[in-house]
Amino acid sequence: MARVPPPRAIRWIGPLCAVLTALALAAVGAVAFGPEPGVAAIAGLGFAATWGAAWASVTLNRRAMDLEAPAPQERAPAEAAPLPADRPEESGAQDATGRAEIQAALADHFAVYDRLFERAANDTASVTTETEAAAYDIMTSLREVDAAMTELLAFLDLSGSNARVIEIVDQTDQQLTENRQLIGDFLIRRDQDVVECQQRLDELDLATAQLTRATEGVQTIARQTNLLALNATIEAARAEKAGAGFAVVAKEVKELSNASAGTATRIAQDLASLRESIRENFSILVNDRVEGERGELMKIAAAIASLTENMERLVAHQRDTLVKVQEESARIAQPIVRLIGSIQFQDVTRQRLQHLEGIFAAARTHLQALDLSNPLTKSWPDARSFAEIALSEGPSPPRNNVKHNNEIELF
Amino acid sequence: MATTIMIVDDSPTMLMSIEGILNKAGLGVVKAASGEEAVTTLQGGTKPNLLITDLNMGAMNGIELIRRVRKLPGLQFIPILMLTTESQQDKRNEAKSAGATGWIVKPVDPEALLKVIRQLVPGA
Repeated sequence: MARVPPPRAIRWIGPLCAVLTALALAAVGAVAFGPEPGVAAIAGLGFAATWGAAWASVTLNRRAMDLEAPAPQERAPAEAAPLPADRPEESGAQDATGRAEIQAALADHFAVYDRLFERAANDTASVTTETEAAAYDIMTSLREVDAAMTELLAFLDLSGSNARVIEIVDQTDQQLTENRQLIGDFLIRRDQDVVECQQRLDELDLATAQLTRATEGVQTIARQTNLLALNATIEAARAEKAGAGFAVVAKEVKELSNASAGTATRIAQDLASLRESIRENFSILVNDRVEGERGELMKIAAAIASLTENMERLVAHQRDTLVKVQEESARIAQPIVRLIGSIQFQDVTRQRLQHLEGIFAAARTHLQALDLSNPLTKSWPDARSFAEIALSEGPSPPRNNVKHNNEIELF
Repeated sequence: MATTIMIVDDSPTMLMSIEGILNKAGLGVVKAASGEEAVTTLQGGTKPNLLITDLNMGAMNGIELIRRVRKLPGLQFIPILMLTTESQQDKRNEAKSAGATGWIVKPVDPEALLKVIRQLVPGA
């Protein structure tokens, strides 16, 4: 092997240093010992300096060559041990050894490549299988979500839930309104009844007063009868024996008069008691019961009004909810369709990976067909045909646009 | 009568994807996982309004399937769309010669696919 020559500058450093050193020593000798001894010094020291500088030059050249030459272990085997030209047999044997070493080294490298391609093929096949299973699961879940959404929308459409709820609430509201109307009518009738009752009580009061006045007339008559009986008794006493029978009649009349007055007084007292009792009962009826009923009915009416209001709020809330559900369902439907369509990426990826698997398999076949022990390279597989396989685009070449490309052609 | 589309693809994911898109549009779907299964189904009397097939599928590829379908009675003129990842012109020409109606490169936008179907099948 020829050594790599050092750069020109390095090759000339040694001689140049030798000359300069000799000149320097001669100058020093001339100054120190005079011209003649100086010349001798030049001759002697110059020789020594030249020799030393030449040694340094050689050393530097070797050093430079060692620095620039490749390391022994990095050199090609054929160059690692140059054979002398005057020993051909030994040289041929070493050539064969070198080729064997090269073949062995290449075989080692090819084995690594083979394992690499095998692993790559297995990995891509694994990715294909796993992504296909994952995409299938995603697709199944998406279809389930889509089916649920479709069913929900169909239910809302077919059952007319919104309209049905509104109809029910309208009916309920109508019934509540009717109930409020009934309560109002009842209160009015109750007030009318109270007024009529008051009128009848007044009439009864008037009749009672008339009866009381009538008893007063009876009492007046009784008093006058009693006075008449007293006069008759006096006149009977004047008539002595002839008036004795008349005195008995006068006495009876007086007793009858007293009884009539007592009866009239009791009737007047009973009428007053009856009148007071009716007034008291009517007062209880009006002040307590009727007013109490009015208060309760007013509470019921207020509760019905509140119930109606809450029902209307409920209806509004439910209507808003249903509308929101319908709107959101419709809004989600489109992304679901797009997601379902996007799953196609898995098939595209699968075919690209399968194409890579084919290339890896071709690479392994190519490597295995490379017979390194056969020096006739023409028997080796054609690199160009392998390159056509390795560099072919395949069924799905990479695209810049990873989304739908919408490449549609109608013939 | 509801429109029926036959989908032929060896990828179960693709079958589900296209089926989902078509079902959402109210279209009926008949699926086949291979060219052979599709031919058997069609020979059994199924008459789809349109057929969508993949190109690269097992033993019988999409182009061969089209040739077989075109020989079946009553199916000489149904629209057949090739839905494939490939886009080479020579293969398009081969599909066209075999009787394909159109060529769609995967992945296809759902709306674009439905538009083509409605264009080829009025009332779909």
